[in-house]
Amino acid sequence: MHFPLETPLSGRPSRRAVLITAATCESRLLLKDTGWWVALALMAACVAYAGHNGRVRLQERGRIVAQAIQDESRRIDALTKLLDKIERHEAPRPDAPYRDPGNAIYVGRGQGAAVAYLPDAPLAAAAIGMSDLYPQVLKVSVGGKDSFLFVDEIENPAHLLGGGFDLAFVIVSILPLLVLGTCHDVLSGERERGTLALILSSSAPLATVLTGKLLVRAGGLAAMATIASCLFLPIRWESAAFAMSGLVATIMLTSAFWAALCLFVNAAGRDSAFNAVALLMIWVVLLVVGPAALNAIAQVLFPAPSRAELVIAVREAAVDAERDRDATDARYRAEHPETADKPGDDRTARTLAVTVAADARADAILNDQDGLVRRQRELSDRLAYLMPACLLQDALAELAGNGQTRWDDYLSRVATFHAAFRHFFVAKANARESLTTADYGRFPRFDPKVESEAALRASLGRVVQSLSAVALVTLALSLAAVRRLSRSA
Amino acid sequence: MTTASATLTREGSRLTVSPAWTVARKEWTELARDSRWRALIAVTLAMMVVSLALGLLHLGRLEREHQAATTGDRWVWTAQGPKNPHSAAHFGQYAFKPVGPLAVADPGTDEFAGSSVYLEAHRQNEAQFRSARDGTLGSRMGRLSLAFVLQAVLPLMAILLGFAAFAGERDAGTLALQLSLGVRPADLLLGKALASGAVILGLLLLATVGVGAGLAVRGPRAVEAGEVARLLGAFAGYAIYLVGFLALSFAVSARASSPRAALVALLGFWIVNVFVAPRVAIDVVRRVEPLPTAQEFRSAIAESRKAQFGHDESHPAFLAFRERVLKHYGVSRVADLPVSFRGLTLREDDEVGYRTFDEHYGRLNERLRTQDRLRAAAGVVFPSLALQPISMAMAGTDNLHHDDFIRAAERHRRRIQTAASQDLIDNARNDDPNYKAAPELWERVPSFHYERPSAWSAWRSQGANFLSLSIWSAACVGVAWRTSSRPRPY
Amino acid sequence: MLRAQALTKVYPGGTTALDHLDLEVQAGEVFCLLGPNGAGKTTTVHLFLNFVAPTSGHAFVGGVDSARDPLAARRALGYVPENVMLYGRLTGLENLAYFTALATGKKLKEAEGRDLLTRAGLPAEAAARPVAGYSKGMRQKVGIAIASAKGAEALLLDEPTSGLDPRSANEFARHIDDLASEGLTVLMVTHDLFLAGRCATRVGIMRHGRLVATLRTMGLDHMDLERAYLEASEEADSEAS
Repeated sequence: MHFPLETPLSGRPSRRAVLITAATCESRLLLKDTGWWVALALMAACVAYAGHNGRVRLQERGRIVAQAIQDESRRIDALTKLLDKIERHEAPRPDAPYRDPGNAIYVGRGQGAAVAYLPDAPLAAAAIGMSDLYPQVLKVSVGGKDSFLFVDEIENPAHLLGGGFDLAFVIVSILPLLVLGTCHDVLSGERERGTLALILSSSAPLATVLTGKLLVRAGGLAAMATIASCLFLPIRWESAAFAMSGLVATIMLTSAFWAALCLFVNAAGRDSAFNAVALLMIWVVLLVVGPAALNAIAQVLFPAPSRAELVIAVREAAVDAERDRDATDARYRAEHPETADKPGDDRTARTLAVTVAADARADAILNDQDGLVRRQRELSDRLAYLMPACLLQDALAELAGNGQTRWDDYLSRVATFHAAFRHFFVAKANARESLTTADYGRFPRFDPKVESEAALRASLGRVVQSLSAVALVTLALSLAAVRRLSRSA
Repeated sequence: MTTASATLTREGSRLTVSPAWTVARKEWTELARDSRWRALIAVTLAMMVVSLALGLLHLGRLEREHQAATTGDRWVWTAQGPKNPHSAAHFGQYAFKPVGPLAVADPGTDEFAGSSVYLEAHRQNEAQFRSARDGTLGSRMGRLSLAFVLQAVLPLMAILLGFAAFAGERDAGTLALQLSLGVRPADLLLGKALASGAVILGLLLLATVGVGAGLAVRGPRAVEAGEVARLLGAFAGYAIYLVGFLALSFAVSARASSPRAALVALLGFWIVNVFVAPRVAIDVVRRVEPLPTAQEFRSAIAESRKAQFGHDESHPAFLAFRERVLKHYGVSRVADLPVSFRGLTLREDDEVGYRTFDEHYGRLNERLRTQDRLRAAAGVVFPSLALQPISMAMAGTDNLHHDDFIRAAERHRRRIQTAASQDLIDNARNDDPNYKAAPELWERVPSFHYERPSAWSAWRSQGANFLSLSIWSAACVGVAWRTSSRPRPY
Repeated sequence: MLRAQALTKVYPGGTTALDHLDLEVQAGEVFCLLGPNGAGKTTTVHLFLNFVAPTSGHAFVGGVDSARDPLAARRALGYVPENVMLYGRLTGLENLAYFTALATGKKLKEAEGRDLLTRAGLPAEAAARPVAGYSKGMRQKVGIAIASAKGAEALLLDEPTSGLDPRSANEFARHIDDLASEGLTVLMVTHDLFLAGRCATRVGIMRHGRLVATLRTMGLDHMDLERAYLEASEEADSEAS
């Protein structure tokens, strides 16, 4: 290897010149390296496969949402038609209140439920994130939130456990392997081929030469991952600018982090075999054992509250409400002996009042629990700062819009909508009005498109925080490696 | 005759030692003197202890939660005042899934399958509350459990033990020296296998005994014969898996051009086996054997249930049933029936409903089973796909155990329905729409009690997986035997 | 004791490493194979050990065709390569005990082991130290001790003295003398004419996979040997061209 340095006579060449020379030389070498081309092809193939899987998942999700919307309009249509007939006296009003399309409470609790869903973000195919665990569609009704929030999709639990082959997996787990494969011998390889002496004997600083080489190798893989993502991932380009730049940054940072690790390990001066094994063990620790250990610890230290508690509390509220109603009934009967035998409108109103009160109590319990879930999650998230892989994974999920932030925002929008929806029907019922066909057109509908600015900012903040943490570690590793190198040289 | 051999013959009354044993002893001595191995084994043991301790803590919490939930649900059920039994049936009960003691070793799919089922009138519900939903995204990257250590870390150790067995000794020159002595290559393989196998299987044994001991500490009741049989099953599965990995390492080592090449190839397989293959299998199976969406599933049930009359008294089926009943009792008016007609209709409607639910849930389950089978089929090549189901089945945390729980919950739901309808039939008068049962009835309806399926059924369900795991392992042993029978000394 | 009969080895690449070698070494004889690199000397040793299979011909060890029954052949052989590689974490004594147990199936008593190592020339204090700290010559001595302990009837030595300092080489040569006088057959591959002249009863000169000359060393000094070596080599080269 030779270095056509720009200023051979005026002492040390500039770092930039060395960097460029090393990089150019390295690219020329890689062109003839079959292993390099195999690594690039593997990278592209993995991204292509992940992109394909992402497309399939998006289609599945689209189908679920379409079915729910179709079901909603079918339900409403049927009720409207029936009500229309009743209004035109072509059909009798059903005896049972729960079959009466004019009964605000029963319609609101059942057949009139409104569909809410979180539309796919522009880069949704990049990471499954938590999206496979969350219901794709919520049927918001007048009842307590617990009645619709926990209606899950049908999925094989084993598949949820194993996760899927998505782009996030490729970037967080496979890209590092390829970086290790191509960069583990960045220094030791030179020594073993005998070219190290040549580099050292030139006046170029070793760290800069190695950085140039790593830039080409890790950078080349990152570039391939980026290009393949653009080619093979279904992306809604018109609104993907922010997410795409985040994705590119994550890819670059991931390979920079692992390249820095390679440099750090190489700086110890051991042979390539040792470096390869040491780096693979680091991979195992950072991507497998570390996150697993953190999660097990988080599960014990910061457990999520038991949802069974929620169930029991909600049922206790229902029992209390029932007793309350029975007691009020008894009191009412004692005060109005003349109506003792026929439960009339008053009774319906009282039933409504206690039901609404019970629902409110259930919602309060649920809110408390959700607060607790969020707190525990935040504490676990703090632990994740010990593991760069967890941070990268989280950043990708956020960029794909399948992370916690966007879901939490969606849930709070659903909560607001739920309140409005409930108010609409309860007000009708309280006013003892029957629903009319005109009312059907005025049912509150959930607008899936409106995302809050605050949530977008929160998501961006989370991504920036995660990536900065990884960048900081990368920087520290590189500095430590450079110091080691300069000491040994 | 040389003097040396004369020395040997002179004192030749000593016991002869088998060459394999000699090799094994030498390997152990080397391992014991290698500080890296001492550290590695210490770290592995520490991981086992920590995962087991965390597992026990988690199990304790889950059991307390389950206890509280069961007591709480019993309370709300019995706290119902006098009311119509059918109304009580609508209020229903909850079935909470108990966590089996062996979940300490392998939490399996428990977090990803719902943990409670609402048992209400007229309909079978799906299990609710996947606790993973309340976790963090990070927790999807796996959880340190004993099963994780055994599935991911121990094979890694087997690889590190085996990759240099031949390639490394060839590089070092000691292989030629040993072969020049007239040692049978089979003895070399056997000796190495004995030494590495003892390390790996010893760790596995420690883990198994550790689980038993951990459970025994919690209370002697926890370690019943069934748990021992399950532990044995898990041990057998893991032993086959690890022996296969060891054999594969030897085979690759005997073939490889250098120890480094052997290591890279083996680690490559390890990564694919533990991380890539399971994910690819999931994506492929989801496509080959798709599940219905929740909407499709629920609409299909709703469609089938249109044949049922439910509470619709104008439904043709209702009218036909009324005719039948009146005819059976030889009366012309419902009011003249000696039993509660409403009770009879509820019972009749439920009976029809049971068949509908059995059919739909049965079909869904069949699909889930097919998915599981398809995924495990790749276990012949990537053994973790066959081992994971074995491990989860033995721990009682797999889909089949979940299914068994769902079925038990549904049986209990039907018990509640039957009790409620029967009370109406026996006690309600046809002219009294306001009949209320006394709260004693709620006491008489038992709460849900779940018995896990026997260890035998767990064993039986894993026959195919044991077979494919054994085929893989045997193939590795065979290849190791073949490749090491003619080792290249240089 | 050692007999090669039209022994031929053609490597997969087409290189003929050994071309119809005929050779017989009697018990008590020390036979030295001389020749430049690539002449087929080491291949000959490997063929006797059946580390490589012959393309044609036979290598007999005490009447056993080593290709037919490599294990029986190897049991009668002691092999000391140029660089005796042992287990670095084990002591010299442990290495000896291990390899002896492998070869004979018998446990070696510690005293016996020490005795063997001392006779092979290893300093007594070194025997209990890990081999990782041994010099090449020390390992060579353990190699000889292993061959002795094994009760080998024939020794195959592959450049045993290369890289040894003159004193060690001299000690080594003395040790070979002792072994041969005990009735051992020795086949030694070497570049060291001096050693060959000093120990060998006969010397074979190899060139291009063929044995081009055999001479008795009785009465020859190493200058004579050198002359004979060069002449034989030139003849062979001119024949080849």
